[in-house]
Amino acid sequence: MTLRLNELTKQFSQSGFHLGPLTLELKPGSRLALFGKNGAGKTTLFQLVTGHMPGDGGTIELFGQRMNVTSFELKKRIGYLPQHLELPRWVSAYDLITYALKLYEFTDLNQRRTAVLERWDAVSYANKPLGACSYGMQKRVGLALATLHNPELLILDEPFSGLDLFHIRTLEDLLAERTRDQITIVSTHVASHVAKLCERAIVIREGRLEEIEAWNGAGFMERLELMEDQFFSKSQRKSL
Amino acid sequence: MSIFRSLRLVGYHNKQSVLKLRYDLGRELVVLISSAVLLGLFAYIFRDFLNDKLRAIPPSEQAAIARVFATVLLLMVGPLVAAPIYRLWRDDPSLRSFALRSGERPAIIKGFLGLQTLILIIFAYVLYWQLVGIPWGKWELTYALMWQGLSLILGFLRLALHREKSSPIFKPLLDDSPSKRLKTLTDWRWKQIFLRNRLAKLCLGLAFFLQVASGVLLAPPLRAPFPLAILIAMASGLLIACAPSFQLEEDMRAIWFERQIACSHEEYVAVYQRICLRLAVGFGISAVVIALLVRGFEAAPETLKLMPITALFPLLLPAVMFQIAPERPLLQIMSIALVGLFLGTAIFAHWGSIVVLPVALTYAKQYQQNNFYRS
Repeated sequence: MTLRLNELTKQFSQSGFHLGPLTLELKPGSRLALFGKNGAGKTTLFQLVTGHMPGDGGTIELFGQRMNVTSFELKKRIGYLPQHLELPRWVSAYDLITYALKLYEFTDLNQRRTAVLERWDAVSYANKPLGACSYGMQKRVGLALATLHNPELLILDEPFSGLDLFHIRTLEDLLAERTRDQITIVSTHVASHVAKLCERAIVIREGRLEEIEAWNGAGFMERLELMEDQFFSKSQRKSL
Repeated sequence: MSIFRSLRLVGYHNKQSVLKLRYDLGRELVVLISSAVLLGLFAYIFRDFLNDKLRAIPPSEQAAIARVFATVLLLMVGPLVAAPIYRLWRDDPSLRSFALRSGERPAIIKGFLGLQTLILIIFAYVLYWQLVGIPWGKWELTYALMWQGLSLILGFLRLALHREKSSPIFKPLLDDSPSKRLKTLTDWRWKQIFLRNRLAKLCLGLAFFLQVASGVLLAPPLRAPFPLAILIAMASGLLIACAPSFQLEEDMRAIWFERQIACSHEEYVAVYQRICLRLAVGFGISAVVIALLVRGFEAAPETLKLMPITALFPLLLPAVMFQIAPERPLLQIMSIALVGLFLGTAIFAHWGSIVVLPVALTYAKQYQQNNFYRS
């Protein structure tokens, strides 16, 4: 039940961006916060780990198996919320959740659909076209889709953006409920959202992963400072 | 001086369009050149056959067909140009909304919108008269003015009658009964094509309308020549292929979700194959039934050709959908039109050409293998 990246690389010839080699091991129960500047490669890393994009070198090992774009059984065990969430315009949240539940081969559709719509406070707009819903409403549907099968690996790319305070709390509660045999990775620019929940933090910088070593033993306020240290020099911190 | 500011905005607006074209120029040029080569090849291969068929139609009938075609197109230009005009005046974000928020005077913005509207109308009609109107129809000035005026009125009506639809409350698309994975994937798209996707519904409606129109033209007293029915069958086949192409574009917006739910390339192509086969069989049969009813069973061997010619266009979609850019339906439609024109004319010339279809489909599907993950 482990996620392992071994010397993983990805190169984009057009932009010249190079990611990796990346090496990382996440054990069951891990909750990892991933920080990084815009364009540092966070989304690319997620696309590689979820099998949405093939890597150029190295390997991804998930739950003891090699992960690639055709690892369909492994993909069913992952929940993923992309940063730029696009949903079909001419279907409703009700339709989309039913579709997902049927593809995950659940039998108690009604019970699960009701639970997930209620959890994400989406009952009031469940039958409206998603194209007519606000960004925040769509985000909640995206979170519902990523979490409805209680995945063993949950990857959330900027999950807090667009959510109101009430739904940020809902998401924090959900992350806190994740069990000891599940892995969670959250990418965010706001450290306070993850400082309470994640026991490991990694910064992605110039295509490389750098662990914030002091994060694990630190308290809430110290973690916020540790995160700021990654982005600002001491003189910049003083002027803030 | 305000007219100069309006003109400057017009310049910015049109420069945007040129930049959009330049962004993907390499691929656009490849598509354009390949299309020109294919069309040239088509004309070279089928020149004698098409000339024979044309000679069989009396010149007066040829002229009448060309005139009707040119008139119908002229009437369509107005409503077609109304769409970009509507977007120009209403889209947000746009240059209009940006200028308004930047504090530009409303009179200047109105000047820009008015000038740009005029440019769009003139551009569309000049293009029409140069490419279709003058070469295809011999018009008297009064008739030309009358049809031109009617086309403008239709365009104006489309703008005036347009209403923003309030967001509807949808009934569930899928039921809760257990079903196999491939059936769920198929039903999801099939029901969207018929119940939700407006463009897809419009295309299917127009395709059926063309089939009925073809029946009316073939029936007495008009008794239009059969090659015209073939031409209409090709047009309706292309419209049928447009419906799943527009659904594919809609799918591609949220393709991360299909990939996340562990959909494979083979499954995805198989789903579109099922959908296109159903459409091809359904509309192919209706084309033949309508034609047999009006032409009688004596001409059955020839009439039956309408079925494969109508059906081959939607059947081509699963073979070309991942060749270039699945998210761009116009490219799909262009590829299908070109290949369909070849195969359709070949089937019209000889039944035996039908054997080329499975060979072409198999080869094309192999060529796009696994492109689902790269799209």
